[in-house]
Amino acid sequence: MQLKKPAVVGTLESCDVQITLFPNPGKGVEINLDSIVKVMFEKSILQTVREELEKFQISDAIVQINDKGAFDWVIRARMQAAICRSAEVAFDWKGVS
Amino acid sequence: MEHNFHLRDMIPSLAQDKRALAAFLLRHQLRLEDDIDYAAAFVDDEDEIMACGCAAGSVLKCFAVDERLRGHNLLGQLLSALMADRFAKGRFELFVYTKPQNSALFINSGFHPLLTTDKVAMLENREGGVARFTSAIAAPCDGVCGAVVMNCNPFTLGHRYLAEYAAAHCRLLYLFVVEEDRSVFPFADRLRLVQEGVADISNIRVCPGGPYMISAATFPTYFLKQDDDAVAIEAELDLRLFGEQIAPQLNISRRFVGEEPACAVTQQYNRLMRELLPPLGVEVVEIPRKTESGGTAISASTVRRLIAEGADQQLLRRYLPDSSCAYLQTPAGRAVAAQLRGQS
Amino acid sequence: MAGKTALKRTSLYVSGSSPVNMSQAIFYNEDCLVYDLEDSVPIAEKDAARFLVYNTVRYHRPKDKYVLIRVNGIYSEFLDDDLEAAVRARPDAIRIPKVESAAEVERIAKRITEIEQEAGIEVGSTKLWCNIESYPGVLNAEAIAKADERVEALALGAEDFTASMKATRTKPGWEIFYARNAVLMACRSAGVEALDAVFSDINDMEGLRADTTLTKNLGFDGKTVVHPRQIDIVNSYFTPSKKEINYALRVLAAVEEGKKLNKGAITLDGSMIDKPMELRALTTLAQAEAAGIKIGGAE
Repeated sequence: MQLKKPAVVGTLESCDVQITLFPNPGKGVEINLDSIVKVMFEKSILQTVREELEKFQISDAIVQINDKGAFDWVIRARMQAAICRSAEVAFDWKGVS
Repeated sequence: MEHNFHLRDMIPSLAQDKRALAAFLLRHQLRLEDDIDYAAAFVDDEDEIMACGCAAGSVLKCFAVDERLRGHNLLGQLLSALMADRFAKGRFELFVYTKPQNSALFINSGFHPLLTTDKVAMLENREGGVARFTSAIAAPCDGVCGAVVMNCNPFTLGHRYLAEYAAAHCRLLYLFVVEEDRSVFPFADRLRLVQEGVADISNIRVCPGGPYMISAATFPTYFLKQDDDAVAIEAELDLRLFGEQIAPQLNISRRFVGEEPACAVTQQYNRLMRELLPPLGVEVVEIPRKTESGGTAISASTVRRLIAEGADQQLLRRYLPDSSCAYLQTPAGRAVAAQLRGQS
Repeated sequence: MAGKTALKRTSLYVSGSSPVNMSQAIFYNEDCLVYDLEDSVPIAEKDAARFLVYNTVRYHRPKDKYVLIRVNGIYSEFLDDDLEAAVRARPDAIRIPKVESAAEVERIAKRITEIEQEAGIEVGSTKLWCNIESYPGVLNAEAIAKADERVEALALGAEDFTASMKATRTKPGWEIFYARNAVLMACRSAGVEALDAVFSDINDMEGLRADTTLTKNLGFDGKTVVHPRQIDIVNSYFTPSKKEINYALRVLAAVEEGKKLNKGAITLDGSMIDKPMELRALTTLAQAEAAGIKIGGAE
């Protein structure tokens, strides 16, 4: 899947994460993480973000993350919404079990 | 009592919302600027504003949070709402101008400091904006690179003279056209008229000014005190941004500017340019203004006045190159002329 | 997963666009937690809220709570995707706003069946709560309650109902008195649960007590709350007293005794015990248990 335009999802409220995606054609994935729990959770946040990109088969993206202590499933939900907005696709729920 | 509040849109064109915003900002010694095109606020059950933030184009501004509610990260939520709105409207590069002592609040919300002077901090939502801007326009050059920044509202023979002179005095000239749509001549048309007007000069690179050539038209002053010199503050920000960040990345070592005989604001800007740029390694070259055949100095403001007064083509030709004259005959040009006549 | 007999004393809405509210809501004592995709979610955030609610309910649903998802209105452009996501998230029930006819329920129930089949979810396991929040809804309440096996409760929404009536919402609530009774009768007739409207002034605890007294006395099984601070108060009204528990235990003991002796008519204290009395006794004990009261056993 290709990202088509910048998209932002999520807020800067505590327990939330604001994710901004930018297309990055042909230049791979670049993740900029800013988190209040970066010291402890940097690795797991980055892994979650990469997993979601892989699920949607996105190989080129700039991901800007401003994390205010969001749980893993919140980060996933925000990524999913951001990807759909950025790629301008309607999510296909039928593919979900 | 529990503070019960929720976020809602404020409609700047609706008198009651505008009044409420202005009154709330005033209580915080801030002003509501009149170019706001979106605003959001936290209101309580009585619909009293507890916190607000506004947007105008790519600028986020006019923020205030009630003292009693500091620490709830309402600013972060306001910024989220403003950013979501801007993105939905296709604006992805966003800027905040605020008092230097408040910049930490915005950094905390994911904004990146771009430049801070004594009086103003400018922040952007995406780090490295200047580098992206310059790398998109940079051209190879093995000699002196120069720059000139012009509004070109519209492009006159004066601009042409300045561009010609500057191009003759450097190997490559970056000609930046200030990018904002507050001028009567729309940006896209201004840019095209410049491109056409200098098409015969091979070492000029005409570039959109991007968000980093600060225009007085979009520079917010809501956070300044009454006795602050808004012009000087804006000029310092603009010139230091140019001298410290843009010029080094494009190897620009010479900046050309037209002498200003009349306008005090421009005179002040030019004086600050002479003061601030040379220490940053950018030589300033001031060029006397070109006069038309009748001896009057050519300026875009004179041209706009002449159009407003209904001057004929023959008179305008003394001020404008053929391309600009031709533009005035197009439907878009006629519309601008009609607008100018309506204003006078 | 909470069973069909689970208590529904309090239902708390939490906005599907607020992760902080969603993570806090599981620590309160509400029986039912409703993840909202409707009113509390701005139009531009419907897509994001859907992902958030799906991920939360599917992978991190609160234990010991009855979990619902409120979808957008029946005629909104968001309903189709809401149902796709909500059913797949496997909540106990889906709460549908502003239901006005049995046909609407049938249509949604049919759609849910299809989604359950596609996603490999046991057909019929997704229950429905219908919000009754307009006069047509009240007039058709009985048909709505009986429209489909999935319907498990009707919940009265007073603000929109009063608006549809051109009435004014007041604290004493005479403007919704008929609607309350009409919904209750429909629920009793259909054998589904009846949930009362919210009391919306979160700073008026006395008002909340008065209103909840009425809720309880009219016969409702529970009430929707607008703020976490209302939960414990409302719950307390549905927590039976020692006297009520003792009486319920005696009723059930008498029934048990009567069955053993194969008696046709069972009496207690000289009065006959009928089926509704037995049912009420069972509810009383379930409520007591939910409130953490130990029943029977050694002293």
